[in-house]
Amino acid sequence: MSGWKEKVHFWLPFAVLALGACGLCVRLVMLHLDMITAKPPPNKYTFTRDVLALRGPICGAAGPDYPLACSVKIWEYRLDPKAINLKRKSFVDKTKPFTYSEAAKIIAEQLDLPVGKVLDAYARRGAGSRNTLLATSMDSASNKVLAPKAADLGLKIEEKNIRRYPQGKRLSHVLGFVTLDPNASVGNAGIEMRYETLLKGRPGRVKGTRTAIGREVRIRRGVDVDPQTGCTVQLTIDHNIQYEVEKALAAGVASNGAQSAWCVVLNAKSGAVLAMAVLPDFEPEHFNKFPTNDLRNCAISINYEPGSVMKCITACAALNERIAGPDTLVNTAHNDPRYYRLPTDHGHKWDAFMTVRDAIVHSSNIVFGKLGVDLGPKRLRRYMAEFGLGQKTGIQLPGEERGELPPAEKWDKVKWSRAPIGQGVSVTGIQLAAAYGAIANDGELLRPYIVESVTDADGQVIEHHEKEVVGHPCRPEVAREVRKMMLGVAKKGGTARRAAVRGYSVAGKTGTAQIAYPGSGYSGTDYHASFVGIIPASRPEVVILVTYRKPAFCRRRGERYEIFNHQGGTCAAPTFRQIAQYTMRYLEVEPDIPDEIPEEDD
Amino acid sequence: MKRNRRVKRQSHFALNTMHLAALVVSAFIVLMAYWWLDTRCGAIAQDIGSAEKVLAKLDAELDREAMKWNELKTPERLEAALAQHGLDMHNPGPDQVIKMNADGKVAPRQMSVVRAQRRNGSPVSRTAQDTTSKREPSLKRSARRVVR
Repeated sequence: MSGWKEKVHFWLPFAVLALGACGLCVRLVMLHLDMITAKPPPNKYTFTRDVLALRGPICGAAGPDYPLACSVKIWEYRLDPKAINLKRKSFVDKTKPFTYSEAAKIIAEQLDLPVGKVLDAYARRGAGSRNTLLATSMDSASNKVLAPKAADLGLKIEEKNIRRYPQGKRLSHVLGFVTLDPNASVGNAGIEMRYETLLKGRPGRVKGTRTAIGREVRIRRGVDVDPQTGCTVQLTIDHNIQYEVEKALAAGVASNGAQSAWCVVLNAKSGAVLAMAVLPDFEPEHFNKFPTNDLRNCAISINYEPGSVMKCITACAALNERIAGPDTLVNTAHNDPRYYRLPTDHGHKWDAFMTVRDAIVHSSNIVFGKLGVDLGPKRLRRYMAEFGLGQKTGIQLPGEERGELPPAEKWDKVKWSRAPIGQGVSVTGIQLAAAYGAIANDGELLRPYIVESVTDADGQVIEHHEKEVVGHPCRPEVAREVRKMMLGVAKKGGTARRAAVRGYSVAGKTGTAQIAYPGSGYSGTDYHASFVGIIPASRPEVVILVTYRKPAFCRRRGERYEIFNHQGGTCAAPTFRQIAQYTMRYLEVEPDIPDEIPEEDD
Repeated sequence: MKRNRRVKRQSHFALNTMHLAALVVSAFIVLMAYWWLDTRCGAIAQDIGSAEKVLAKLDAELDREAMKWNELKTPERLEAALAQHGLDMHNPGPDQVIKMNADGKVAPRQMSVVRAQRRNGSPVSRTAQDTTSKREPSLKRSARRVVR
């Protein structure tokens, strides 16, 4: 008996301990398997906090070192005049009382504000006066000075995420903008809008408990999900070319007195957009201060009649259909009874016959009107459609227009001869650049793209774009021949001698299109002046489109008015030249005609 | 016999007391260890929390500094800075660069070389049209010379 008791006495404590351990194990397992819904502690001690995710950056071809848009945390300083602590002593001299002027001086000094403005904020009374926004600042040094004194100064300091565009107005139409609410910014235009879901990131969440004095007990954090920064969108835009393009375009707008202008620089081999500039531009951070019209990306969202730049597409169609060759002679008589209501050549006197090559060089409406009639509306329209006109290019930007290319059945006889010279059909700038890209790329139509890749915060590529062939509108030899025909445009006797670039052959075409207004027809003074060029023509690297909208038709000189530069060759071609010169040098493209140096350069 | 029994009882009592004491001591040690570990965990969690806050602050600071740096190195700023110091700097044009091959010879057909040759009185005359026509096969002119 005693032996039994002894054994019980000996093993009992161990049994109790083992039971306790088992109980703990069971509870642990149940906790892990979420079988216990723990009774939540009183609300006073629990909290749930959403942690905002930073919006992903947008960068150019140079990579993340040159961001075009990124999100940063800044401090927002608000003033509550009633919260100032005037009972304390001065910060400078402990014997003197603390005053409004001293507080204003401290704040103004740190936030780089006029003292008067801060004093005014202190003096304000009435609705909203207790939450006056003084400034937003990225300067951590001033924050370090103001944060400890904030309570005495009556300052409220809040940290907020904002979207910054370090290059200012540059590329504003492509980047777009986000809504102004710093904590709930949503992309509203451009890349910001197109890639909203990928850029916005995923907010984090913290659920936990805190002590009676408000200090968090970290070990009791229930939910702790880190915020995930949005994806990085890398564009094909080269910020240096973009800068040069915007500079040249701004100078062109100023000198030509144009209402607006746009320019697209395409990589001829891949279809990547190297630069896309639109003027007037705007500041994405303060987009609400600009007129709505200025926010439009005219290069993709304005349909306009291209004018004579369409002639190269007509030439491609005619050569591809073997209706004409480069040296086919065409009668330049305007009153040819076989053709119905041909367009005029605005008083130019030509020889009786002109080759198609010369018709491109001199931009003859009559010759191309005749070629268009010979082609017939169905074939001509088919070629236009195959060159990508009348349909969206599919570039990764919102708000792209498709142009206007009515069905051939709806073309009246007048349009048969007008469409080949770019009247009665509408295009967008990007469509036109892509169509010329097909001529540059030996008849391969490429889809223009502006987004190179999208990568998430872990570096995984989510989206990638590269060269994509979308059609073969003409045979390669036709494209090469048309390119050769276009060489004369930028030479002596051509319509755009000012487009010539030293050392490089330029295949280009000018366009001066009257703007049509509903009801009143074509304007006599409002034009779209364009130049599209392929450079170097022998082995194309880039395609550049420059368009000015409503360049000044006339200007006053002394007592009289004179017709001003409103033509593609006089206002768009010099801009093309400036851009092409820089781009060739920047991309280190070997000159293809090094031995052909214009005399004036020597 | 009685004596023996007493001795046995004493030893039994002593054994139980020893066990109990050991048990209490070990329980106390476990308790203390638990308490110490709990406190340490709490402290480490607080340290982690404050370190995370510092990290987040430094990250934000880094972002801000990167932003300031990016704003400083925009092409306009660089141009303005160059102009401020009177430096008229441009990239050299194709006529100002002489490229050389690996064997130290001047690469052919360069603008700079052609210009130099022309200055020295040995001009070369070729047009762009010639260049393209030499490089690319001409279109087979199926369309005859038609007079329209």
